[in-house]
Amino acid sequence: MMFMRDMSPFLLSGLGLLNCLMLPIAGAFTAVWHYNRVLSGGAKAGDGATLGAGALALGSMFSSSISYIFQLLGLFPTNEEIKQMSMDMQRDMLGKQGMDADQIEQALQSSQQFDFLSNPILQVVLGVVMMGVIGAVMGAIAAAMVFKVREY
Amino acid sequence: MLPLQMEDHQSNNIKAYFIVLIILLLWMLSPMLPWVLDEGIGLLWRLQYRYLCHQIPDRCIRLHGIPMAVCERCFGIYAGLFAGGILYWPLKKWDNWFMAKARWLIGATVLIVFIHWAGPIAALWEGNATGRVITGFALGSICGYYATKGLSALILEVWRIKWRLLFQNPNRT
Repeated sequence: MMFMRDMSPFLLSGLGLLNCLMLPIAGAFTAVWHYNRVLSGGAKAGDGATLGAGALALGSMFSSSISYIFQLLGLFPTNEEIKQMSMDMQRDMLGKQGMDADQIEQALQSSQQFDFLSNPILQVVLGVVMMGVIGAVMGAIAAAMVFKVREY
Repeated sequence: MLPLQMEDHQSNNIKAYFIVLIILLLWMLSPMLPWVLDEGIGLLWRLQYRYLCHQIPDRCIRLHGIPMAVCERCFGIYAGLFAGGILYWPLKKWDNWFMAKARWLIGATVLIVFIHWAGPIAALWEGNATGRVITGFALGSICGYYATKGLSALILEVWRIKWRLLFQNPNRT
């Protein structure tokens, strides 16, 4: 549902077990490293956090746009199919949690009340905000490791 | 004039620091939301964390049978980020040392997490929840120091730019 459009590449690539904070770290780190290389180590205060936030927020928007275009071209699942995938994922999640079939169906019905969260615009906004914050944190950490200017 | 500016600068530093602490606190607490939210929205909330964590239910801390949105190690990292944020201010006087040793400190804690993760795979020892939380916490607290420093600088920069845009005379060169 929420962010499912963004999530589809992850689902398709089967990276579920590898993405434990690794993708945001890699994205932010690459942005900071490249910026530092271009500036030959002349980066200033807060640049790492700004870069990380920008890279991941833009990345999230870019991912949404590409996914939307792919959807139009029929290369990605439609919204209805994504919704069904989301339901299956939720069912799977609750099953692993140890719930029986009745409890799972009850929980899924309850989650249907929040269908408004699947609004594509809301998904994009929330994705950008969340990835922006994560990117800022990861960018700041990457900057501490990469920047030569220690007074950043 | 100068002492007043310095006072403003210090006050802004403290404000930025507290904003960062609030962000890191919310980040730490947000995986616990499924424990307090309605079942349906709690489920959707957990789903969002699939981006960041494998969420294997056996590896998640449970309350009343409901698993947290992230695994024990990720929660350790998030808690560590907040702890590192709190420690940033008292440790700031040794900032030069921390910055000079950033690669070593982060590298060492990443190695600790990696060894703890790899042990059970190589059948050297059994993984346990406490170990996952502690090793994650160690990594998070080191990263939290640098994250707090960078985020504070970012917030101060945003304020400075906003201040300039709002109040500086555009005709002045």
